[in-house]
Amino acid sequence: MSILRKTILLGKDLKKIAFKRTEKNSNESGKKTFRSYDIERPDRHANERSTILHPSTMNVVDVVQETNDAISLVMTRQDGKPVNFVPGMFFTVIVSIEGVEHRRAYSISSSSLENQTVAITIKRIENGLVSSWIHENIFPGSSLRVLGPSGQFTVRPVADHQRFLLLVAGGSGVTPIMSIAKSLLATESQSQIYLLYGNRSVDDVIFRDELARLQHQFQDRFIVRHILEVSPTENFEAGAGRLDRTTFQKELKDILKQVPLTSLDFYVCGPEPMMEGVNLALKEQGVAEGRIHQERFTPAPHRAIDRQYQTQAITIHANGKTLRGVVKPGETLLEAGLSLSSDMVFSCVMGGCGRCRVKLLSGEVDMEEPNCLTPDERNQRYALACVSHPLTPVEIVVATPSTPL
Amino acid sequence: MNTPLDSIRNILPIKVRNRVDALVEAADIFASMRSPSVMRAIAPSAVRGLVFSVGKHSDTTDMPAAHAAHFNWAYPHDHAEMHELYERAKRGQWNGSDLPWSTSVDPLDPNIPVAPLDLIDLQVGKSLGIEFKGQDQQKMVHSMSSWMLSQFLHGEQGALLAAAQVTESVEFYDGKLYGSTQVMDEGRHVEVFHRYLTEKLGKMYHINDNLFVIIDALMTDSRWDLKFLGMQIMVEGLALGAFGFLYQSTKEPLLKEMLKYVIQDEARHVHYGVLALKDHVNKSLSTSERNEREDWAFEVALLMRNRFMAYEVYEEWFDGTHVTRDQWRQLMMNSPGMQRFRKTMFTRLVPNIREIGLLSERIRPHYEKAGLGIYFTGQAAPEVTGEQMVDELDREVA
Repeated sequence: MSILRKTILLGKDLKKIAFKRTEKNSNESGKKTFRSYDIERPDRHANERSTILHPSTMNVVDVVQETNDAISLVMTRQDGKPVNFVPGMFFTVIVSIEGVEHRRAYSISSSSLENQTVAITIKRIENGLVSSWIHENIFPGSSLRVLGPSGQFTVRPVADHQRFLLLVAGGSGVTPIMSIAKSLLATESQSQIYLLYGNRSVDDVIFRDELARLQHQFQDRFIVRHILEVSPTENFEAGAGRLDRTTFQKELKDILKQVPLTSLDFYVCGPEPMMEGVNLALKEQGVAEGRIHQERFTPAPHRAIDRQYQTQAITIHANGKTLRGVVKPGETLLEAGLSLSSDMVFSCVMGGCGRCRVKLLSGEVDMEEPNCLTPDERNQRYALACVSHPLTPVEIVVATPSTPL
Repeated sequence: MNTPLDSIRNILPIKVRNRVDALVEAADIFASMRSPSVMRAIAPSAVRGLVFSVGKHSDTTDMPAAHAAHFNWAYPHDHAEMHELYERAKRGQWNGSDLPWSTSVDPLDPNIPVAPLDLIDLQVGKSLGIEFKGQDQQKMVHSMSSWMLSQFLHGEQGALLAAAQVTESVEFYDGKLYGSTQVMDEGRHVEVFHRYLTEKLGKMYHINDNLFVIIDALMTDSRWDLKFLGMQIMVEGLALGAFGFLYQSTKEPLLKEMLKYVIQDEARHVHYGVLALKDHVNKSLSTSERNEREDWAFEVALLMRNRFMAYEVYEEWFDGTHVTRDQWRQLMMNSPGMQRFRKTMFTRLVPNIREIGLLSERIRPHYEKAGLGIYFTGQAAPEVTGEQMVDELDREVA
């Protein structure tokens, strides 16, 4: 490039600068050397690590009877601050029943936009110790100890996003799905949401009225399809049958008439057989694993308090680093790892979500049961750090987003 | 040590003094240009960048290109090593959206600093009459880390457009195929740095004048090998060092994860530059042409060294106060964090210049004089892969 051309270029630049000077408001003092953007700074007292290991207390301000056996607890923080969460997250509720502490995960069902209060929805399970206790003992004015919110089954609403979601819920699995749907409908005006919701009978449909209202309000971009095992006596539009693999395949076919498979992301939460069926059907269609999101909760483990453990040595490989320390009697691998400030990954802290899965390179552990580890994973010597106690010295590898196990 | 010039400078109002300081610095750069041909190649860009700060005054800048797009209709397999690099690059692709973006980042949290707190040394500041009170240190680290990452971002935009130019002009067909992956890589880097700055740090600084000069000079030069030298060796090489520094020192998990991926891409980019230039410099160029490249590279190294004075942060914090540009420079020069930063940057760059044959006995004394002689030994790109580099960085920390 010749000097001449470069000089001409410079002339053009200078013209631009001069023009900008005259255009500028005179009240703008000083040189601005950067641009600012609004960011969401975490509330340091509510950040994940501290809330997940240190319970906080919530005030229950309302109890809503959703169906015969499901209630929503509307709660506020004790300090009156908003509850920040991403739709799809859950709280781990801690209750003490006859002197024994129990933990259960309950998903948030309210919209992340109305964050002065937050609601969790709890279905009473037959012979379910904790759910029954909550149903009988929690009233407006009660308080509840919780960990979280946390979780990976989340969708963060972004105003200018356009996406297509197929939400699949079975029974009380609708809870996180409801939060996702409400938050996204209110934020993303270009996104389209399909909800397939399976129940036994019409009386079991949680959020029945609210879903109808949302469907009416957002009719062009929220399509709800109920599936009922027992056909309703009243006037209620629904497909018949159990929401299993075959039913799902049939329903999916209808949806694919309106939106191509490749545009859809799937969020699935419900009983294990339904999840399995949906998963298989989607895999069969060639849907990539990364687009199928599932929330799985198994009954919570019992703290193995009756067992006596010895102090054991532990070696942790995480994020390319190796840390060595000990696990004290009664401590879990997760607790030991965190006190070594290792980069441990975890979420529900009760063996229910699989997020803290680690690989055992050597040694034996005792895991609190039941938990969500599959037999396959056990055979491959995986363990859940949050419910594992070492019986011998152990060496483990922690998965990180970049190095999945 | 007051020269008469300093005495004159000291009685000037601060605003004027700062302007003089900036011009003196620019004059130093011009004075160091050792040959008329280097002068011709860089001076116009230096005028645009250093004297008029063109990059800061508008959202857009045009840099007309003058190179030839080189076609080959025979599609030869003409460079086995580049072909291998192409294969490796295809396998090494990753998706920026898959990074753990849900990580909460608090740039003011001293427990999880984004960049090391000693980038600005409070004691050094105090001795220079620059006081930081209360949360000032954290705010300063927020500014400095946003500034560093902003310059990385602008460098990556330069790399994106330069990689496209290099892909057009490179004569090896295997080089073109490889180049296509680099264009994708750079696009991804722009994506993740921009997202991190705007979503997590909330602050993006304007392009630094020195960086602007380098980008402008190589984008508008018609010679393909100078584009390679400038982008693949100098800008990428320095970036590799800079990313390594931040990768080692940040405690913020998202940034660390992001840099880990970026570093592995960068290692390929520098390797490509070395592959393309090594034979070219040693076999195809005449002595005078080779000397000219050598001088050009040295000039760019100087611009790079001076680039890291973070004057944009100075202007944000101290423009119009009693703190002068010169005092700020002292603070930058003497804060241990910044010293480590500069050191890590050049440890990757200088060995690569050596590897391609642009560090002859003729130029070495000048590097030494500029304080860059300590990096003469050290591993060059072909001797180290991205994975090794990350491992090495991790080991140094552990």
